[in-house]
Amino acid sequence: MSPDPMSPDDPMSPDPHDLSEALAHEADAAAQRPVDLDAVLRGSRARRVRRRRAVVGATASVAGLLVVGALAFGVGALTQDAATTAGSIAEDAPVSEGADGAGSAEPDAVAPRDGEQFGDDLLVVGPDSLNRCDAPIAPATDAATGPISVVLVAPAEPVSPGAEGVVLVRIANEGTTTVEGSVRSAPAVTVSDSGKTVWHPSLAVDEDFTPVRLAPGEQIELEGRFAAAACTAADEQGGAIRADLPPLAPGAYELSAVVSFVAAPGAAPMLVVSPTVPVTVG
Amino acid sequence: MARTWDDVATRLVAERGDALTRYAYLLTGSVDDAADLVQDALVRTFGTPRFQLDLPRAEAYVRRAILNAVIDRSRREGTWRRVRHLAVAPSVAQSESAGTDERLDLMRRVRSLAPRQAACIVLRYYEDLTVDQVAATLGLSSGAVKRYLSDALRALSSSILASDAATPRPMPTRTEGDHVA
Repeated sequence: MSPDPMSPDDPMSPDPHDLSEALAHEADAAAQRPVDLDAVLRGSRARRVRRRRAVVGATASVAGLLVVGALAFGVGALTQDAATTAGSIAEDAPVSEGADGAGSAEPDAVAPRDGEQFGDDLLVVGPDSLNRCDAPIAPATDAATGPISVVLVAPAEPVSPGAEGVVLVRIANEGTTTVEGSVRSAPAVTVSDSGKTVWHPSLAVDEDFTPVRLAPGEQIELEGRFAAAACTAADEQGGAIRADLPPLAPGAYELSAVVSFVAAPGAAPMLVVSPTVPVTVG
Repeated sequence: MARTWDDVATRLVAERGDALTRYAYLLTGSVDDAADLVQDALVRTFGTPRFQLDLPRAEAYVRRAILNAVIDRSRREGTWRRVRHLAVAPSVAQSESAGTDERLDLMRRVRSLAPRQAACIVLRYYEDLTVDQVAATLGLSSGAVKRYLSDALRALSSSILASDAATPRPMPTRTEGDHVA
């Protein structure tokens, strides 16, 4: 047992060794029932299907009241760009196969369809690890295909090697109808060198989302943080990266941001990627 | 490399299923309840779209879901306790025989703690997690975990003292001072 800083200094408290022993004895004494994996997989798939159907139903109802132009904001349009939205909506079955982009936004494309293989195609990728060290960065999301666009404001000052930089991330509604939902409060900012990821944020443990309601043309700004540090594929640790990375060599790099947007509670988040902006390290 | 949620669920059950069941059992004292709680918690965890559901995060989610279920159950049982005397005859008070296993006695006291206190005790003293690790697992602040642990130890201490005062028997052996190792 490692030392504990929270001792209540009460001499009558149970001895920690006794406590540990009692717990271990108790846990070992009972013959536990093994987990039924098949039931877990079946149950969780069914639950995901139910959630998704609820989202589809709600979205389709709303979509029925909107003009066709508003449908262009549909999530489905974003799904066309697998490279930019791979992480966010990879959990959903492909939609509108063969469609050519914005024109495919129909009510049933607003939310994904259920596929026979649903539950097996759920890629576990988040905004922080959409870009992986040494790998090419995800291309920017086409602003014409989504409800929101994301742009970065390039830092005016160079960032010292190894230091943390702060950038503004602007999320704008480029469409003609109000966009409502929530965005993760901390955009994931990636540092790249000639299109190759040299730093990305570590896996965020807590995902704090901010509600947004953007009228056409309206925008909000979030603060994004990045480190002028260099990572390689060897530094990847299951979505996280090593904390003690070496500083980036002075020079010119690019920044891009990934914003996680959730259109409705329970809906699958989608990732919107900004174009790159230059940043100087030195 | 990205993995499917089913892959993560399969790995979690294979590698940590027993640990999760033991954790639930220590909180509930029932093998069947523990199995049901773990099963439900796994379904809840993997039935909700989440980013980055890697193994450690998934395990933390499941432990939180188990604890939440125990808290819900505790609330329901609390309500039942308040009205129980209207429905059933009071049971005969169980006398503690001299041979009562102190471990069982201690476990009964642990399970009578508030669920969050009990969970902190189990994670700290059974799983041997640090305060920070307990905090991360349960989604609490480290300060809150320290308070829960401190309150739990104090409650156990009071419970043991009250029991000792009511039942003439030798005091259990305790270490001096450094009781929170």
